[in-house]
Amino acid sequence: MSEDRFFQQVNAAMTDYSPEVPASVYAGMRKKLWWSNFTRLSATRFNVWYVALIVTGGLVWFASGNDSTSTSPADAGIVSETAMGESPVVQSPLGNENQVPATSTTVENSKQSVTAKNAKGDSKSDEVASTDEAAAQTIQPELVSESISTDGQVLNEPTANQSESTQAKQGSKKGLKVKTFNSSDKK
Amino acid sequence: MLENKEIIEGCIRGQRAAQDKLYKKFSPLLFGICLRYAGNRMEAQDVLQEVFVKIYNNIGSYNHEGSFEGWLRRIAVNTSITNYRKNLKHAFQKDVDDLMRSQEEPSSFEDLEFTAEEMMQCIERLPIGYKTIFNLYVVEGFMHKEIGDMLNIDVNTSKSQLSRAKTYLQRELKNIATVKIKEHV
Repeated sequence: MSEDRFFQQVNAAMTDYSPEVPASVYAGMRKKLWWSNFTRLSATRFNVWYVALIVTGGLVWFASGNDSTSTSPADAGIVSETAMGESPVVQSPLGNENQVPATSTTVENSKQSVTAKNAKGDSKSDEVASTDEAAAQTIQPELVSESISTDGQVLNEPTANQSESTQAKQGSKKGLKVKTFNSSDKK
Repeated sequence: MLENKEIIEGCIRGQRAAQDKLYKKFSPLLFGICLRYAGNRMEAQDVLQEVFVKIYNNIGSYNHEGSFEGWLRRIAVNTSITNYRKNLKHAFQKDVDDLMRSQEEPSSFEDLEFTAEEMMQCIERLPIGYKTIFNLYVVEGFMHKEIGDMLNIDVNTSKSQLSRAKTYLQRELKNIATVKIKEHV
């Protein structure tokens, strides 16, 4: 068989050779086509570029939202004052000026109730009242230091003033308990 | 011809019905091309899927000058060549063994006729390097220089590979013919 004839024979047989295509090929082709369209940049149809835009926008929005909530002026004030080493009790703009009279009135109210109870016929009411006055005086700095410590949770390391106030608080708490025990004991 | 035009316009508009018509009409022909170049049927199926994705995505660039079938064939051949290049490192693995066995020139069998299936069976058994060059030269009608440029090989390499492929194929076809004659008798 000459080369030309052999090649012609193969060419004639192969040019229009059309075997049956398995059905699974069509489904695979559809998936590949969808993915191809999804990854192509196109303004007219939803694709991966829109997804990227949405995700990026979401991240930016989330990041900016976190920034605005974390940097309130009150927090910024505490941090700067702490950094300067000043006492947070004196300088804190947390509205402790409002809290202190409120707590002191509470103490006064409780003192009045105690005195009212004692006025029912207890002979040692004057002694109790004077004890409560002293307790109220010790409570005031305690409450102030307490409010500062709860609001100032952002402070990682307590300052010297803070530790002193904590000690004073503990001491005053102990003292108050002892005095209250004594007064009820006397009742 | 008119039907092809409708299909093309539908595909350009992204109509699924037109895409399905195109697939039904041309997928067997294009699968035949993919089978001739691919190493096995699974690979041919993958290549066919890629061919159709390329056709749907680029059908707008068809300029209606040449035949549409020729345009589709060219996409199938080019995709098959790209796939061959991807798997190039495995391409000539069988060549040395086959070379040793296929040196002997088969005796002539000019009067025998072979079906497309029989030829395809033999072509499928060719090492992929031989197969690619044989298809490009014999079926697609490229010159050795063009084949050399397409596959980044020397012209003489293309010629020698074609010669070996021809010898191998003739030997295989002769075996088939021998079996046929025995069955006849």
